[in-house]
Amino acid sequence: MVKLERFVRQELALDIDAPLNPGEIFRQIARQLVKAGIADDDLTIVQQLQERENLGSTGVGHGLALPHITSDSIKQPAAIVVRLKHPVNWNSIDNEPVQLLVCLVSPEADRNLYLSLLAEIARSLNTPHLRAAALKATDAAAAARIIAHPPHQNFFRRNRRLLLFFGIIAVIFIGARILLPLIRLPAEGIYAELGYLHFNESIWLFRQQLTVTLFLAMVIGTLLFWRFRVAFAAAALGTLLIAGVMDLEHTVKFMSIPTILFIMAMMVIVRWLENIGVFRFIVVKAIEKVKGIPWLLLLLLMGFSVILGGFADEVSAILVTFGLALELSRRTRAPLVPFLLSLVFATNVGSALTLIGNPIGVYIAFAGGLSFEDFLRWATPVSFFTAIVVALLCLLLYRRHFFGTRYQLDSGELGKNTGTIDPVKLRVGIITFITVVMLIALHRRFEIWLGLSDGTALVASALAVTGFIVFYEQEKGRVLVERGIDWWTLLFFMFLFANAACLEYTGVTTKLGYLLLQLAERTTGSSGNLAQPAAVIFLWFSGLLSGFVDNLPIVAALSPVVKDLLRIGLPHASILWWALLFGGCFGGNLTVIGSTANLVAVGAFERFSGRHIRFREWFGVGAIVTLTALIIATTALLIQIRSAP
Amino acid sequence: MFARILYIISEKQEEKETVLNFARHHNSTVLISGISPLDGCPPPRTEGATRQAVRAEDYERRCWQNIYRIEEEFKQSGIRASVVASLATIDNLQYLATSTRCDLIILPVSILADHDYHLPEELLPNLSCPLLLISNP
Repeated sequence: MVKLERFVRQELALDIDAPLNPGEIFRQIARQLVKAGIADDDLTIVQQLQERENLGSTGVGHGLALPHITSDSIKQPAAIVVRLKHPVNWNSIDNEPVQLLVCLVSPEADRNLYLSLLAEIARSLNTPHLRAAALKATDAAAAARIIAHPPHQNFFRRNRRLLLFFGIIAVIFIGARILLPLIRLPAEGIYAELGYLHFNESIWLFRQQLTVTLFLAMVIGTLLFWRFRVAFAAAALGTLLIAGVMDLEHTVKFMSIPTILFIMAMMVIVRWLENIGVFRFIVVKAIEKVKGIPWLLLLLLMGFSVILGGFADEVSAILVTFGLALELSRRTRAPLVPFLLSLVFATNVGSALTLIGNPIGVYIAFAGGLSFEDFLRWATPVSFFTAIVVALLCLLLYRRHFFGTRYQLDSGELGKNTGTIDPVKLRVGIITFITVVMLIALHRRFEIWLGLSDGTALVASALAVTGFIVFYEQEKGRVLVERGIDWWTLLFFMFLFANAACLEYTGVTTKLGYLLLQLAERTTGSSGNLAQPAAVIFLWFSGLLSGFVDNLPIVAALSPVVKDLLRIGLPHASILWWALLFGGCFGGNLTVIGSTANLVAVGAFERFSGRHIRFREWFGVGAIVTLTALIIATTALLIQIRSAP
Repeated sequence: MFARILYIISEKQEEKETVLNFARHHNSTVLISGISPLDGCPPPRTEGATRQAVRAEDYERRCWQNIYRIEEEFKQSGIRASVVASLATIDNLQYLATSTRCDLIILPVSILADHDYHLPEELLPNLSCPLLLISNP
């Protein structure tokens, strides 16, 4: 391995403040080399660097260029770092202007050393944090120092995320040890009647401490190490079992298998409908009618995002509508960012439209024993109205992109998108889609008619339709089940549900509910309508947190609190289910990591455009949309609170 | 027809003649990149973390040397060639293709060995340009 500090010499580094072209920059480099006694003839060096550049740009992207030559007029290998105050066009592969050059020259005889040096410099600059540090350096000498002596990453710096994780967990463990004994359920009243007083005993306090720590470890672990979320959830569950906090029987019960079965079946149904092109067909047919009016196109795509977000799932909705926006952009050069953000916002808001739009909805439905009709009564109007306001807001925010222009859309070209769809399968798909929505919409009626328990017809409908699809597709059905279901996510859901239910089992959520009631009582000054401040707290807490953390753990942790508040007979407490739903779904718009739909759409955007969405770029608009949506939801909940059971 | 070709080199050098002839025939500019050592199958579990890191570093160093050696050879043969700043992974091949605005990706089959000779499911339908897989005889 060659030592870069011998060859990347800081005293040769050049700061060029004047705006120069590549030829003039090469002349300055050559003069510097001659002055340092590294080269004999500056004109030859300039000519060779130019010739080399003509055979292919040495701009490697990210604002960097690595001009390099071997020449007989060079006496010894050396690298000169040049920092340009005025970035210059270098025909780089990514079209970015160059602001930092590392020019390597070497005698012809030292070819092996020359290649090793090139490799070492390229390797250094391929490390993102080193590259960023070199580009941000105050002067060329500082950049040369960074390249020649890469800052050593010690153990603490390398593992800072893991250390941060353990630090937070230790603080939570100690905090829980101190705080939990201070929260004592009152010895008389409803808590005594419900037999909750054992939660004040020391053995249960230890269980609560462990459960809180492990649950938050899972949430923070998921936030910091997203790829390992299943590992964190599984480890937390395993620890609870080993510590004797829960037994196996309760663990399986808490995994909420009906919820998992329903989500699993819906994944198969939606993936099948997506594969055979049902969603795409419907959207393309509608776009053809719009005739290239930009604002109408945006509204139409947003409308489909809301509907598909509510009746299919958020990921399918965004894949279909944003996929079409990408094609629109490819053909019409329409700006993509406004489409990306508007469609994601619409999808997230739409996912609160019905019970099946979002795993949060499914979870709340099973946890609270709510039916599709309850969702139609409580969630659909608010979600629909919010979607209209968000659509108008997006048009207002992006008005310069959508008004005063018209896209040249060839309907024949768009039609090619649907050309490969099998018409027979399409018909079967549309009929199946309508059937499944009808069965789910009427599940409560079936349950009453057939004397089934809550949620049975819901799961049965989804499973029956899945069975039909797998049978209809025959061999492909097996592939559909194997690949159409996101097993990794389902497994995470199972572990998460069990961990969250343990909070209820050990009395953590009972104490949280008690604290919340105390807080609400102090806010309102009476014990009258406590559900009102509780709903506002639940909505904004889950909404703002959902922008930064996966929303399902938040909803799963707060659901038992709602159950407890219902159990102790808090009037109108069922409104809290809807506060959780709106908070979880609308809050996903706040940041780029707020929901799965955001990540899927941004991934597609980056692959298509080759550029990243900056956090600020998203947050600027996302904050306005999220706050507006949460204000609408707050108003709707407060107006309707007295009608809630 | 293929003005810009993105050539992902492998440890085996034999394919470069194929790419060279292809680029000469189409008068193309070749953008050269390699595969990151962190891509593909995990390193053997019998190795400690330090040994794995050293091995990855060696691989990366070798990869960059090969990239620049191939760039030299291409330029000496009169083919326009540039090096891409970052090493790719099979999963981000689409991103690399888009950001370099290439018209064709040439990928040696040997690179896919660590991926059980499978391409990621979502790669092909989303690629912005054709993908040519080459194998040395």
